[in-house]
Amino acid sequence: MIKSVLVINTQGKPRLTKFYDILAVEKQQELLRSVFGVLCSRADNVSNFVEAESIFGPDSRLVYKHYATLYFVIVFDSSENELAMLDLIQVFVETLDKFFRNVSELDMVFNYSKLHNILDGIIFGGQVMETSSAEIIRAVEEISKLEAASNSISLVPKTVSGWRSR
Amino acid sequence: MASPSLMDNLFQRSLDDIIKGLRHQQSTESTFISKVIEEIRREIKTTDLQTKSTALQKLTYLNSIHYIDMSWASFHAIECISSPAFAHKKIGYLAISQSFNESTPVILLISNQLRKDLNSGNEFEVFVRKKAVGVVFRLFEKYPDAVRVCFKRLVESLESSDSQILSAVVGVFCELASKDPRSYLPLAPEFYRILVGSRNNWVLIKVLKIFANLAPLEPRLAKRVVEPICDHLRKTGAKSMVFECIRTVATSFTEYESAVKLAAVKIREFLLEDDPNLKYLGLHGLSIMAPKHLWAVLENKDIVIQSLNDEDPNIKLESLCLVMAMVSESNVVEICRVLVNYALKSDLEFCNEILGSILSTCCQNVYEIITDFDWYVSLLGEMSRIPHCQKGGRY
Repeated sequence: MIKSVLVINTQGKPRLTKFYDILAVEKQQELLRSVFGVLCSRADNVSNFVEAESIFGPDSRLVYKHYATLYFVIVFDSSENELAMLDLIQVFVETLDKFFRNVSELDMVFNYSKLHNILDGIIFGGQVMETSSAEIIRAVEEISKLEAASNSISLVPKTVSGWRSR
Repeated sequence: MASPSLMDNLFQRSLDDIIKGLRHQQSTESTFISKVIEEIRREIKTTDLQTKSTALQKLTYLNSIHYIDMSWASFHAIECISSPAFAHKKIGYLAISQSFNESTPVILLISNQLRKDLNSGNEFEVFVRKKAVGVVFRLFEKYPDAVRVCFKRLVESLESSDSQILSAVVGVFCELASKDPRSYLPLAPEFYRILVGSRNNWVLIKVLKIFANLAPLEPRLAKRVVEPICDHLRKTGAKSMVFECIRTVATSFTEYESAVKLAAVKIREFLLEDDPNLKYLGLHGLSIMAPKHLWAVLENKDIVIQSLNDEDPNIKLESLCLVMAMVSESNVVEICRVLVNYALKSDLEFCNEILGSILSTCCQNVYEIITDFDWYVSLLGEMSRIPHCQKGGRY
């Protein structure tokens, strides 16, 4: 199973953190710092695999990819194939790219909810669900429609930004 | 505390407002966040579910990205999931998945709502089924009795024509078979059908892992399955499949000479690639082969030794382990010479890895492989004089 999916920027700030095991917030913070510490010391032309047992415990492997200002990280155990996990990062990034039309770090900052919708379409409960970008986007759009429909019940925008946009 | 006023409800800040605020705020981030949390604590008490769920959403964000504790809001999350509005439910479920654990007092209240939502009969049944399959194995971990209850449905899903459901179900069986392979041996025919019939690499990889766990238990099964695996190994275009086949053969089909030879050929192909990922996996494949088929490692001795020089620390470590696996009475002197030379050229960390490996290998089984102790003592002297050496005390 997949233990964790992380997106960290090159300054060490988390943009997406998903842990598929229950962990206290202090522990999550510690894990994130350790992962970042390892990643920022990696050169550019080396392999995408990193030993993870010292950070995440026995039977843990880590694969990462560096895109512009972001590191995409998947932590997994021996039930997953290493190259398949590398492919999965690609699927995630491609889906984000299609969804946001050339995704940037800022898109990730301002679309927390959508980001989770997309991730949940790919990985759920630590298991891979879907690997086709088109299918994932289709599912996410259905969910967005449902969310929008249930929100339109309120006639007056409740939020400050809602007022401003009128 | 006073309950939220009408003004508070009308001008509630959204998650977007908070994110923008965090980026533009003048004072320190923690002051801003404290203020936001104060707001959230006020807003979340409302009976109005729209306001409550927005507050919960902001808190969930702060928990995820800024490590703010949200365990105090557990009851509010339950209220959100009981809303008829999809948007509120979604916010509630995300909050729950992120913050609830076994000791959360209100966790029992979820089950009723979950049951209602799962039975609600809408057009998203396929999504829900897939996700249910995905999480069911987590349930099995905690409540092994549950396996019996769901087993029939899971097995039925193995025949599903929907590739997404099949992927999920095969994934679950892969996890289950790794913990308790014997119980899943009876399903071998189903997995065999998928092994020879499916073209979906994700599914095939999982099935290979399942067979890696089942084959050692039943030699007749291994005999039937080894040929289709070799077939995949010969024909597949996907490197992930090649690697999984190699791993499966090297782990659980080590008595099948032709399969092992084929795997060794494919490993060599990986080793000769420029792509550092493939090289690393090639070396990893060799280390899986090493215990029963050292000849494969010896065949690739040159590449292994060359890789001690690689830029990638992973590759260096992997090749060091392989070099140590090759050590025997006849070549210990030569290998130590080569390694000490590398140690002299390496950085602090790798140098000590090399020296540590030499020391621990040589002293194994009470110095089994050392025939010439004069040479060994002088080697120890030489190693202790290496500038980076930190292994002084122990040996």
